[in-house]
Amino acid sequence: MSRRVIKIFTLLLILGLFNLQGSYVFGKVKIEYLSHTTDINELKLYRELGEMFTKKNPEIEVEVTSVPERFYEQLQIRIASGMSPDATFLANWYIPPFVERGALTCLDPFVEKERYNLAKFFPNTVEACKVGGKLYGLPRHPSPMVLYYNKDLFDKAGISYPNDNWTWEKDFLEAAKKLTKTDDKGKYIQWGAYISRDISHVLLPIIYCLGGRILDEDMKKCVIDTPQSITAIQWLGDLWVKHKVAITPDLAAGLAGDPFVLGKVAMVPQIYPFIITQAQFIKDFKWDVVILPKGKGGRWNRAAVGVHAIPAGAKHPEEAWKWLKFLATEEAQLKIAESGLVMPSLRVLASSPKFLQPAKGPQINRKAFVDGMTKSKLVKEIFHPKWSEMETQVIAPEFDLVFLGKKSAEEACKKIAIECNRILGVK
Amino acid sequence: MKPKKRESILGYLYISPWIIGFLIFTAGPMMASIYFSFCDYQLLIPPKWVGISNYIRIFFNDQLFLKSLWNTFYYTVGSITLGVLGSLFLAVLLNQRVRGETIFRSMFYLPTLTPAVAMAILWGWLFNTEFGLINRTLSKIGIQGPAWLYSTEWVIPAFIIMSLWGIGGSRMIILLAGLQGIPQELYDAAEVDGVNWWTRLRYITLPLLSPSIFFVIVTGIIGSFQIFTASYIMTGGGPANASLFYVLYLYRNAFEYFKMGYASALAWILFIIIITLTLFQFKLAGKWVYYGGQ
Amino acid sequence: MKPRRIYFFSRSLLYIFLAFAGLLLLIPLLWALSTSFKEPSQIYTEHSPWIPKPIVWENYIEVWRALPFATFYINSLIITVIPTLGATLSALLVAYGFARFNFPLKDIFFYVVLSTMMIPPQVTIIPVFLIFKNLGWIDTFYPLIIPSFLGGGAFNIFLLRQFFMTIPKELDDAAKIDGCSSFDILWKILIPLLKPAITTVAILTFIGHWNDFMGPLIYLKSLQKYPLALGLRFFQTHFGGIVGGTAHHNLLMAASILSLIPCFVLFIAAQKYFIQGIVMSGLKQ
Repeated sequence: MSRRVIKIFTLLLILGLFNLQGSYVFGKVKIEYLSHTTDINELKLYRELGEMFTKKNPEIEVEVTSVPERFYEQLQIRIASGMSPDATFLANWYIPPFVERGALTCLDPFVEKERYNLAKFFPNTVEACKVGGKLYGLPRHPSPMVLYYNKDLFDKAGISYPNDNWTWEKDFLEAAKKLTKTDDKGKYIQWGAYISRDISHVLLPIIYCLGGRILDEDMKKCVIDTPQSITAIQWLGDLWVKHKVAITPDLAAGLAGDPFVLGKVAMVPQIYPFIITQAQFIKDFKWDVVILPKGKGGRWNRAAVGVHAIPAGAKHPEEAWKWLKFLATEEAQLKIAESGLVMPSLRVLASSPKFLQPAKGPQINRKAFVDGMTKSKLVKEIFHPKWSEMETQVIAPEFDLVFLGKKSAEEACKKIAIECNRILGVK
Repeated sequence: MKPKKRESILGYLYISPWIIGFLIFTAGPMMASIYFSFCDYQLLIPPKWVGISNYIRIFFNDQLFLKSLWNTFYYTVGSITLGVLGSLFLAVLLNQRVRGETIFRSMFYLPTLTPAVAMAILWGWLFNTEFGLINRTLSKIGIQGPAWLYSTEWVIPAFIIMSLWGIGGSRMIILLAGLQGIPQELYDAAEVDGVNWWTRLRYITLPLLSPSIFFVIVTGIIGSFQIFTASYIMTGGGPANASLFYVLYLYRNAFEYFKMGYASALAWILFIIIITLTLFQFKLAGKWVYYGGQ
Repeated sequence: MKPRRIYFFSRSLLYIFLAFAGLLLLIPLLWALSTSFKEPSQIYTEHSPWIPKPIVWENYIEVWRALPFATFYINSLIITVIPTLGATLSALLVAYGFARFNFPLKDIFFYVVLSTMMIPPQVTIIPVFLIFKNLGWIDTFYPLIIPSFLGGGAFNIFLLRQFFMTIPKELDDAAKIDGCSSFDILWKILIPLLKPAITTVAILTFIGHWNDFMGPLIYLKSLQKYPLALGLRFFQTHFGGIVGGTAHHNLLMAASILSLIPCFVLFIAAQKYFIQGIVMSGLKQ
């Protein structure tokens, strides 16, 4: 009797050991995918994708987890504690600092071995996943900006809607001026635009369109103190200070909702998810989107790409790679796009009617998003590993002062150049 | 075993939890953080010795260090000066043998029980430029209120005002207890001598209350230097870093940028500043704090 | 003696002023309460009334449903009650040691205890964080609970020691003659006498932990583990802001009110212990 017991016990022990690993479930491999939001729709989407994936790869199971907030901090802590998830979502501007710290797995070996075809993605999006020429993720979705505009307000003011030929300096400003109104006591009740103070994603492209730059082509030196850049920054600041066509942040925060949705501003540069998060609730007026205006510096857009990546220290990188590839198939991308949350990174899908005229959701000019990707150049500053430091410590505070009218753009730009060059190590 | 030896062993045994805790959570970490302050430590990469370069960077190359220090000083001076005066004033009033003292005391104390997060959210709403209670009330008397939390000039005054919400708190209770400890005979004698209230205040009340006032100021300054939660929640340090307080800046470096070496250096500088200020106050105390009965 | 009329006048002035001050201090809370019962349309206008019309009780229900507030409450209780127990017990033991025993270096140790009250926590947070990270205790309650058991905090030790010293040593000696061990003395004789002091220490520790924000901020990462402090902040960033087109200050205020009820209730129930504790802390410098 005792011998039998020992045998059974040993068997159970061995099975138990397999389970202790957590990631082996009776021969199946379980991989963990860390999602960056707790949005129930997005989690549901990924769980369904996980099931689809397991049907094709029966020996792999996908567990979808999430953190409520401060995602990137938590991701780093997990990697540092040796508890990396197998796959994760990552915004592309985090790739350079993460790579610098050795926190991501390079995907080149996988790509070379299988001769994986990267050409099916928008080229810009693949570039966004690379550091020093090496690939660290597969693009999930590009996130260009477009200009949302309130058709009713334009009608009331008798201006024609924005079109693909609009420029910031002339058309945008003129329209914004006509669309800004005060009441008889002089208090502002309507503004031409709501321009967020987010530098990396909103202001940078506009600055470039206006002919300015912050870093030079090689990203080695700060060139914001050149005359064109100073003019560009001053033009921006004047939107709040001189022409007063842009709503100030304190008033925007005091509103009972998003300024565009409430009909208080006529134009707002925004991204694709804005449709689902805010714009779909608009009942009082008609609206549409158009490609971001261009300027004397050309047509630029933000270089934001959502990326699927494999953190360093992942326990099952091979299986995670299969998962990443699956997420980049047409089937998966279509499902992601259908959720309305984001636009797909596959060229073929982004130009298909399935995306441009979807069955559900507002019927608007979605081509503007695709054009935003294909017809614009993307700003590159955010790829610099020290960009975040420069942005939050130096540039943002100085810009705040310019936009409050407390400093001239010239003064601020000179100061920014000195400080940034110091951070960059320029003599 | 000799009783004395037994007593020693028992004594150590009883205080052993503290000794262990002290070594693990205080002494050890303090030494570790001095070490880190001389390193470049980015969490995912092991610490790398860099000598005093963190400190050099802080003192010569870090605008935000100076800014956050200035902001913290500004806030501390405003908050402690007005706060101690306010608490003192209330304590004196409550000391007038008021009936229903307990009720008043509770009313005054209640605000300090509000958890920090709730307080920050509440006051964030009060300071709302358009609909907040403060600007609404001001506009009723014809003043257009500033953009408080979005204005570089008014954001720290806003925090100071918020700190004054606690004038009825522990600080006042301590001062009140101190006042109640002043022997009534002194006042009676003064009355007999026909002394007016100002002289009474100056020569009896204040000197005898000075130890409590001193205590309240010292602990107040230490506490005020550590303001964090309110700014984290209400302004995130903005606008243009106008409300970036020292501990917020430290927290960011440690837990958002993961520059742990740099943050450790910042922490030690804070420690030295606080010790220096405290010692300075103790030295100054000799001149004005009256320990009569001792 | 002042003339009666002036005396009466100045006394009334005093009461009026005190009442005014009290009311002024309570206004923020009253306004929050008022907002918490309003409909959005009543909040974002220039003439928002003090008494909402209609009174929307549903706001509180909505808040409760929007996020797992019950879980937040429970988590707050876990990271408050357990450390309070641990700190009180631990501080009792340590204070007993300092108050009733003589051993070499006792005074030095006690001065060290006092001086730790002056160390800003920022000097130790990073290494302590690293300790817990290496133990794999990030996103668990342990970092917030375990340290309290090791000493209970300098302030509590100091306070309890003061209280111990008010009890005459003869009581101890009498018990010793009867053959009691040191622990017996502590447990059976001294603690019962110190009940008020212990209550005070427990209450002050409770409030301190309930209020803690940075600790949970650093160590707790999953929503299910959030205490009220973090839950409330999460509510602010995700719901109090602009979601689905409108802001929700009414819900935000309701959530805030929910989070401060326990402390208020505790205070009203145990006022005199509070006051006593604070007074004691101020008396010895």
